[in-house]
Amino acid sequence: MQIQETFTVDAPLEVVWGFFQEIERVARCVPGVESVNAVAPDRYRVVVTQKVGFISATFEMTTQIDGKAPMQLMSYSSIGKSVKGAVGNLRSTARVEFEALLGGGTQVWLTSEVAVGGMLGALGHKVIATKSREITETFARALRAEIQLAHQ
Amino acid sequence: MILRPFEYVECARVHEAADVLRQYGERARIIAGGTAMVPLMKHQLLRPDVLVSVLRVPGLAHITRNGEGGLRIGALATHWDISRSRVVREQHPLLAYACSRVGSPTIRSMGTLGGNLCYGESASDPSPALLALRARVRLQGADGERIVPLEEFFTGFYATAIAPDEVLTSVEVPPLPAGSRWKYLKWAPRAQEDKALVGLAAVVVLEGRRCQMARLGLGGVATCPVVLRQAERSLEGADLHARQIAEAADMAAAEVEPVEDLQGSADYRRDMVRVWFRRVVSELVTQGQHP
Repeated sequence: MQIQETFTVDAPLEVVWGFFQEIERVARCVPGVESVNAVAPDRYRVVVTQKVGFISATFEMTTQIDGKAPMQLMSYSSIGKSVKGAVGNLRSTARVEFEALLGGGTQVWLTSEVAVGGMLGALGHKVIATKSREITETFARALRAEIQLAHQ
Repeated sequence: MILRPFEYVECARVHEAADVLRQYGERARIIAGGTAMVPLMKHQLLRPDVLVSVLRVPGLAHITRNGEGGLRIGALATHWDISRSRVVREQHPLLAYACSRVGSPTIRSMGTLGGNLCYGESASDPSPALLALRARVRLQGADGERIVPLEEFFTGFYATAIAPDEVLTSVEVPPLPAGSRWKYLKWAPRAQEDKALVGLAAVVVLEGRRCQMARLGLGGVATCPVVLRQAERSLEGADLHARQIAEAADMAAAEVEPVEDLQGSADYRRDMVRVWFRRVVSELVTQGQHP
């Protein structure tokens, strides 16, 4: 399932790009993230809890940066399984693209692909679509706010 | 699949159950018929440490007439009880019929109305009927009781307004206005006992073709059961000819936000709302009430 989101930030491309190099700060904009720890260059251990209705799950994920094209794009992939709550596993990829705007701001495009396995995935296709969209929207709002705050 | 170990607490009173729920928080879950809870536990989507049973609480399965001329249905009344109850069939045949469409006979005889509502499943059969009937639920917590309109009880995907330490004790169903016609139509693509992809319940009062009142509840389409407010307003006061019904059906299809899953896409669900709406309302106008 693919989710796309785009937003603009009132900050130059260099600032936005610089922010995205600090993965811990980027990860903290994802709702439900409890901890982010670097385990190797461009590789992180992320613990995230998501709850929808009465179903909740805490996932322990390994996230890595798969590719970078300076000032243009970054791509990530994550894989993990639930360690608390509903049993399941999760795999996702994300691609972030940047474009400098004429007025000095930056346009950011987020494209993510999420797959949930186990019974959680079988039962929760509906919820995953809804929740993933909600997470992406919240993530985009938090990112914009965080970058603009840092830029001021 | 083997269930992981858990503690089982059997309560004799509602406030005891509320106390246990408050004590254990999210680690505790309430259980009645178990038709939803046990499969969730088997598949490890829920892993409670404590199950709080209310099955032995006296009086919670009663179905009685309430003071306002409607019905009070205890949370532990099973779908089978409700579908076979003489008083429900006389006073609220829509609800009796909707409960008769729940799952299989086994599920109907074990599953309770309270459990069905608290599960918060969009594709519930009784929920659209109770929404069309403008039912309210009584929630008892350690601090007291509150009454919540069912429309406000469902808050999202498997989410309800019930607090972690509250117990749903009964459902209050107001009396039907005189001359009401009703219908519940369920679309389950594979087998009749499947969950509804679209379940539409309607209660209307007509004077000739003029719609005096319309109440519409929809299940299986959005993240939770919903009332079709705009479509209701569109029908009320109108002469229900084919064109007017089609316009209201378009409104119903536009006002819902369908989810999608392996059974059907969002567009398919929206189209089915339109089709089901036209069919239900047209048949109420031309044929009067019947399942």
